[in-house]
Amino acid sequence: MSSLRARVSEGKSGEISGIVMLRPFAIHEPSSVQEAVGLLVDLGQESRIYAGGTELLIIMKEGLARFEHLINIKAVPDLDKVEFRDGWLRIGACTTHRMVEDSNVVREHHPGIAEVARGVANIRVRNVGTIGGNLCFADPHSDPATVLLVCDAVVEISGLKGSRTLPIGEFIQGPLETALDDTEILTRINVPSLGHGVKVSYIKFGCYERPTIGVACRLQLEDGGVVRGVRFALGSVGETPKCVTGLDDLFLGKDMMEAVALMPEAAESAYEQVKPVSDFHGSMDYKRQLIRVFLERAFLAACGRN
Amino acid sequence: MELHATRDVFKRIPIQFTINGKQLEAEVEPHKTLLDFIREDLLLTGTKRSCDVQVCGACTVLVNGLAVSSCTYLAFEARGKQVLTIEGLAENNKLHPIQQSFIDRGGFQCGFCTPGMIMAAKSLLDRVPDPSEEEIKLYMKGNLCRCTGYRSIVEAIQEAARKMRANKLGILAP
Repeated sequence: MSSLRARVSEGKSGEISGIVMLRPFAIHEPSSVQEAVGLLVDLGQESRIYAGGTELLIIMKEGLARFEHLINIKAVPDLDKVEFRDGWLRIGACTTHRMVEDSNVVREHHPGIAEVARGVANIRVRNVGTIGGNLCFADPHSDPATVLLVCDAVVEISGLKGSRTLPIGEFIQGPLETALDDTEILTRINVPSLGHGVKVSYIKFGCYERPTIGVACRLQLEDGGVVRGVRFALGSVGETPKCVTGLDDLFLGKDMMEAVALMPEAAESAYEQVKPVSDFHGSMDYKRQLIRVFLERAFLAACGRN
Repeated sequence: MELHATRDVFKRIPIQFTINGKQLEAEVEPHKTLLDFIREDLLLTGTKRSCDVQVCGACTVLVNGLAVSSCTYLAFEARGKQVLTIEGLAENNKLHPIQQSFIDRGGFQCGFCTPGMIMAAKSLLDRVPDPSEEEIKLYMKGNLCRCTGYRSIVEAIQEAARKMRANKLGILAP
């Protein structure tokens, strides 16, 4: 629903069209979420929420989208707080990847989320870019959403009619498309506690700025090293990150070696569900091979955590 | 169709910040990048424009000690903060240990990526005084060099780390 996909020149968020420079815009600095929503309403299609700008300013520089009014959401206090309360890790939308990586609260309750933040893009993007901005931009080739999916994260959205929450899988709807309507703002990402003994791993691969594939694995082993529950999410290969379903029965009760032997079958199922697209990162067939390799590596990484 | 000078329509933002230790007051257009401000308004041309899309790291400066891509960082965001560019590293006409190490180790050829490399290295060593080779490579991943093949850059950073640690302890570096 969000307008960004419609605003970007058809097809190619990597394509440079014309001179690389920022066209002029105004900055608005609301002091509350309500005021920010009001600005979105008043300024309409020419406005966009701006936080770190590490993705938004790039497409504006490349001339792929133009906004004459940027609403500096960082001016609203307390949107960059991280806390753990009532069994939920709560991360403010304006928290930078660097802050997520460094946060003791995140490391304690969801080390997998701190780890994925550590690998986003490069150090400069991590220092400035925000987790909320990353989710709202919804570039298919991104890392955080894949891990958040497997952790059952829920996003908090504020708009004219108040607040609502949405599971992350429903929030990201397509390439550069989210469930936000034009007058809504993502304010927080909430992640429930992992159960006892549950480990989350994330393995990514690629030789470009953005990942070509990312696999998150959520694993629970019983004391004997036997699988009690496992879940995978695939990111960067399809149009959105996706949880792979229907593998619970396959892996239940298997030990590590048996589970690894089942990976080709699991990878085939994952490939069918995700339906990778051919793009400059590789052909469908290449991505099928990547899924096969990295599903196993993510699983082994999660085992290694135990 | 109404024509007007678009640039005049959007209000400039008054900012106050510190650059290389000096206090500065300015008024910047909202869309002005920190890179443009540093190079064109302050005439500090040590920071380079290369890819202009925050991928290569040649434009790296430190804002409150954190490395940022000045090509994609809006100038007004520097208000109230401390900005450090390559020109701000040397003190009393003496090069910073990182700068000296890059020279001693041949950590550059054409030199275009070098200011960005040095600033990124500084932010690394200020945070992690004794990084492993793996940590250096991971941290510096976002700074690209087309000349050196990176080996001499890693060695320069390792040597600088040793010197900086020794300086802290007040002993001669090995």
